[in-house]
Amino acid sequence: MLSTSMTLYLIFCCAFILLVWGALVPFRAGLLYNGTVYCMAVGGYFAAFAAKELGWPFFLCVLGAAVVGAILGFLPALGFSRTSGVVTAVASMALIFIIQSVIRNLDFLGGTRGIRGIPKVEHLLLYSVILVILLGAFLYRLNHSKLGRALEAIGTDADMATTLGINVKKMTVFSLTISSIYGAVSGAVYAFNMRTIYPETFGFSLLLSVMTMLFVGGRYTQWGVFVSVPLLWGLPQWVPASINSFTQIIYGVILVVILMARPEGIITRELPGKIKRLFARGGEARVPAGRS
Amino acid sequence: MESFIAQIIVGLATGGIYALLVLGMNLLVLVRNIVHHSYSHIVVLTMAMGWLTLTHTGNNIPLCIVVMLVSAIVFTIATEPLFRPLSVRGADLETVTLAMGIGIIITEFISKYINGGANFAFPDAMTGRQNTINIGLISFSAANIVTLVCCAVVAVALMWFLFKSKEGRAIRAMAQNLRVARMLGIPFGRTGVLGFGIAGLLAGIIAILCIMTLGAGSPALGDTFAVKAIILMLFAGMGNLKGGLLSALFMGVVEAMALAYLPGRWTEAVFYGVIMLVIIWKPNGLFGKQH
Amino acid sequence: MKRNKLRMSALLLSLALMIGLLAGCSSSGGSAGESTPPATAPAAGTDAPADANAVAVTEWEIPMLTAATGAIAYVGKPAGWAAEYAAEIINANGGIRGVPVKVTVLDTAFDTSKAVTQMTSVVDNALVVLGPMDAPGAESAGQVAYDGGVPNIAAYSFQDIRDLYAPYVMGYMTDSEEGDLAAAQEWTAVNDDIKKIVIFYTPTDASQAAATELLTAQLPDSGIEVVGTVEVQTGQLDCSASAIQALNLKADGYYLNLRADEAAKVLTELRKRGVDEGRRICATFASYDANYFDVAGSDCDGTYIWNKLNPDYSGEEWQTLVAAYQQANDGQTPTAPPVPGFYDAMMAIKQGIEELELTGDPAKLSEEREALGNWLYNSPVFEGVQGSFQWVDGKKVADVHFFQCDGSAPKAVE
Repeated sequence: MLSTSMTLYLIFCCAFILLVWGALVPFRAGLLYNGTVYCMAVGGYFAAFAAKELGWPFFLCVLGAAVVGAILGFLPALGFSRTSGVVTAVASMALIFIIQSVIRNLDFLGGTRGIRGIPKVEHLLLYSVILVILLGAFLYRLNHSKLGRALEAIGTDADMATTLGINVKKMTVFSLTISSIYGAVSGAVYAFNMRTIYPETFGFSLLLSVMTMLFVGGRYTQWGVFVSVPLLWGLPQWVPASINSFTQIIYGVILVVILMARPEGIITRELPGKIKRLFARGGEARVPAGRS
Repeated sequence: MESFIAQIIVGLATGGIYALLVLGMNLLVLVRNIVHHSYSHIVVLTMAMGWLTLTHTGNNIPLCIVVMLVSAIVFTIATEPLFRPLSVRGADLETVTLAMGIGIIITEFISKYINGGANFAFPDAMTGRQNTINIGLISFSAANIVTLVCCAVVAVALMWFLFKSKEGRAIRAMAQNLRVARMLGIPFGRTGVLGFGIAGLLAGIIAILCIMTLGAGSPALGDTFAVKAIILMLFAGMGNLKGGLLSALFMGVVEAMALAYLPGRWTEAVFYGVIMLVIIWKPNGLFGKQH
Repeated sequence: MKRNKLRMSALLLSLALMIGLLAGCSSSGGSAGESTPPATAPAAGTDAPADANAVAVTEWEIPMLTAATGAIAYVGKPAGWAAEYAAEIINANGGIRGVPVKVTVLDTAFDTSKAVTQMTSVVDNALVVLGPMDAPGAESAGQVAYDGGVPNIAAYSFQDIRDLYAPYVMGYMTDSEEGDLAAAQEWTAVNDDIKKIVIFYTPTDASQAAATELLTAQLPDSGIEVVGTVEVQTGQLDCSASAIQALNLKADGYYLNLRADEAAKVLTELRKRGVDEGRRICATFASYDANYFDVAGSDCDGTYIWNKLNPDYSGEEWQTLVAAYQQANDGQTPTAPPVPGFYDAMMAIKQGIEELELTGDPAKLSEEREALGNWLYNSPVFEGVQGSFQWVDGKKVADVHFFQCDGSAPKAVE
């Protein structure tokens, strides 16, 4: 049986895997979207409120968070369909400051002191793993569908994508909304795991760690997060106490080194294909290199 | 009325610091087409170097200024090779993230090794605090005037350098189209070092002005500056020197006014909301992009 | 073909999860293995049943959660130091019930999720937990401590929280609001021409907001009017806008209910723009550190400030502590409330274990925790390192100290 702290750690990992996946979807279309963290706050607060004040069960809270996240993510997405590149990255950063400020001013959400006493959910780890598998499978389907290829075309060259008949604006809104849903679900898991929620959590430092996880793991495949999230989230617990106070510097160095030496991240686009071939060679050597 | 004038002066003083930061970052946009998010962190690190010099030499101010200018130039140039592989590939999102990584390292370094993580205050002789003119609520110091003069001089000098001089044109050509520029025989490394060197010198000047206006530095100052500067830069239009200068000064005043006359709890939401809407409305910035 | 791919991906996904789970298990097993065994001493079983209260451990292990890194490390590190130092003193005097005590400092990095993680990692085995020393961290981790039923002395600065998690949570320092009220009353009593005051505060800080509310409601009873409140944001670059706003209210006095960073900036601006008499300004305990005195410098002269400790306290035990602290920290004097707070907490725990004759036996862990929790939650009066104190319903009751600055150095006011 897993120890309490291990369970907590694994659930955190699930929440961050979902969050980084949320950032990954728009990245396929060449957008670095920070609104995912904003939707995490929305989803987290919605789930906390629904579970504590309205007594909703876990999956209903998650579903509600996803719906609310989708709506509140869709509205700014309409605006961000006009922008691209660094502009989207920075302008969506403003969303984080706005939502923090709004939450602090809403007394029914606990203001600066946050919400405490979110009911405990039994088997939360199992539920989070189910959510990761479900949303992971969805992401896999999306990436290998027409829509996914359209997003990739936009990411490679937006002008070319337009000539191919892809509606860049619609696709951007679509990807940002999907990203918001992932963010909101991850926020709900996070809230149930913490059982308390604060506006300060969803700030600049969370954004930095999401970026680190995204870029270190590998931002062109959905598998990278399985390496980067457990590694980076667990770092403070695993390194010896004497260098524990350097973890922040270590994060920075890892990020810089990875970006310079392995720009695609630890898990590159080719790696899953290579692993697949490795497995296939053992059985039948007919699976060609996947195009993912 | 008296307090209104006082607020405007306050706004211009902070706006001046923002303006210089935006000028420095815009310069790097024009040099290498990169958004150097950690430029502000380098400024704060330079302040920390100044503080170290002062505490170890018994307030030797001329030496402190020399150390600050030199270290600012060295730090800025030292970041250039880090960006090189990415700027060659034209990966601008990765560049921003890389710069954020550098920012994390610098912030953490300052909070670990400078004054045990506490704020580092500078002596009155360095801040020039006594050279202040007060008329009732209105107060302006020598630092405020120097900052505003610096803004104008630096902006004009940069514009002359980048758009009129031979080296400046070469640097801009490099940022616009690397392949063509290389084909024409413009040296990649040297223009980069020159551009980053100038930005570094500017960082040193900003650090000195920050000491004069703020009187103290702190580990978190880098992040505060960086977020403001990057947002202001996009607000005005990337690479637009004139636009950046004007909008930074304007936003400084708006911020002071908002703090003074709006209910404080909502200031932040309104401030960032307006900026976001402007950026969405004009994705190239209010004054347009420039190369 | 398509189905094949799907299957393959499902396989990979589950494989990755399995690996994650396995890797996690083994690592947790390792660390847990290191921390649990010392709980039972081999000798415990051989003892005659007559002495059921004999100590069953070879070492008392007390986890201390503190922000050793991050934005408030300059307070978090001294907090951890104080607990470790107290353990040293206790061990030098024969330990607790003859057994030495060990403090394990765990970093929360001023991050609520780290605080919860660290609390979860110790909640199963610890008899008592110290920290987190920051309020958000304590309030998040408090849920875990309460569910696990472990007494926790940390930054519980609100009565509603202490009632919610009773009897397991105790504040390590006195409540700020009451100190603020006492200080404001003292300040306006000493300077009886101050009748109208302005309060500066940061609305995002729950404790400052609560204190501001309390002052606005209670001060009129002593004939003092709060003519306005001015909001200052955390990390605000230039505080002159706020200072001008306050000066426009034409008050006689200015109460800085701010952290040191912002308080220093506001003070400088107030003095620059015409508040010539320092005695018209009073600052709260949160400003009492080098970030305030160093940055504001000579502007501090004549101003008042209060704190939950007196760094110049004359008690012998405190003087020894200061000497040890100075040796460990390049001659600096401890000014942060966690230093006496956690030192006293350790001493109180020692006394509790001795009076209740706790054994540390894992089989009796939950009863002993409950007993200790109840004993501390409404405690007897202790002779602390800075004078006597006690916990009443988890609230620490002790004296606060009032100072007036001479130059930039605060001097205690009798």
